[in-house]
Amino acid sequence: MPFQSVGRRPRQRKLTDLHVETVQRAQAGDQLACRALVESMHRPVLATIHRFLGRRYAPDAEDIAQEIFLKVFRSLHRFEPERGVRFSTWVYTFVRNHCFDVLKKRTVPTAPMHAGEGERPLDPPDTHTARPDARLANDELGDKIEAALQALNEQQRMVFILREYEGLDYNSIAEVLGVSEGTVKSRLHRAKEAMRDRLAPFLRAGA
Amino acid sequence: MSEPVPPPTDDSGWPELRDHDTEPVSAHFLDETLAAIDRDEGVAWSRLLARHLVPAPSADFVDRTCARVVADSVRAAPLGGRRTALRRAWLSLAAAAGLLVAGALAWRFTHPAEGPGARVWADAHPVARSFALAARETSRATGGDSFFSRVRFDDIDGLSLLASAK
Repeated sequence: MPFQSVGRRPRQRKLTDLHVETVQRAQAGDQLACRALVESMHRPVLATIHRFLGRRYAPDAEDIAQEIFLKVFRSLHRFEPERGVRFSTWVYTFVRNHCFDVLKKRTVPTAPMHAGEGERPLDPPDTHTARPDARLANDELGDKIEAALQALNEQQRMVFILREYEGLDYNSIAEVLGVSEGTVKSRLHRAKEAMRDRLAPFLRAGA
Repeated sequence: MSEPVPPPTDDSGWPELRDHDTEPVSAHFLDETLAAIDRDEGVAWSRLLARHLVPAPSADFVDRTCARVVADSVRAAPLGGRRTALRRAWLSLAAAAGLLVAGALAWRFTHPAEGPGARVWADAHPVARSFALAARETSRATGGDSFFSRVRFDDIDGLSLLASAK
């Protein structure tokens, strides 16, 4: 009797399709599918945490991300792909709620003022900027962006991150935040204005 | 408002972090970016924000997270079983209590009381009536204050005997 393929590995496809199948397998208890979900979502989740909470929370970012994943998997049975919500959008809802909770608690962790020894390098290593002055300028610009981002209020910051960094559409952001698309657009507009105002002097001054 | 440029995707179709876009910052780049932002071009934000790097995840982050998820699900499974069993026990208790209350209410409404301490014996046996009368007379004669001295017989000749304790 010829051997038969028991489980067909799904083709790697675009965002939505990949997750509908993978999530359904994960809901059925397939640990490989669970791992695939973590693998595909961990970078966006971590990046959003870093950008939303800022460097003060950097030492705790991975713990926060893990707590979010635990919540996601505890609630996985409640996710209904047929309702048309993307899995990534659903996960961002957990990210948003957990990050807001963290800020509510305001237990600011102790973090070094400057990157110390033993801290992991930034991702990815900047191989293109061989010149130290160029790298320094990049870092400085990054710091300015970070400062401008952290100066936004929480609602505007989350909208800006989801839109400009994570590339979510207005409808998805509205679902994540539980507000209307109009509110999303309005918050994004104000966030961009504020970012632009804060960054313009630096940009005009040049590197 | 212009639409932002969709983020690049990796082989699996997921957006890569756009931190790879590491063109050195130059005065020209900044001028161009600011001008694009002023024109509200989505690409300008993408180019600018690409400089905002975040720490890379630990190499073992996925492994550790999956291990925690598995451990959490294992812990949750028996807990879930216990919760279900507890819920069932409470439901059984609640059902039994409900039945008792319903039975008591039914009995109460089918057996209405006729006053405080009242007792009605329909068709009392003559021997019993004789015994009760004799007991009352004896009690009164001796000046005692027993239960029988306080018995009231309203219809001694009838078949019903009403006794009430004051």
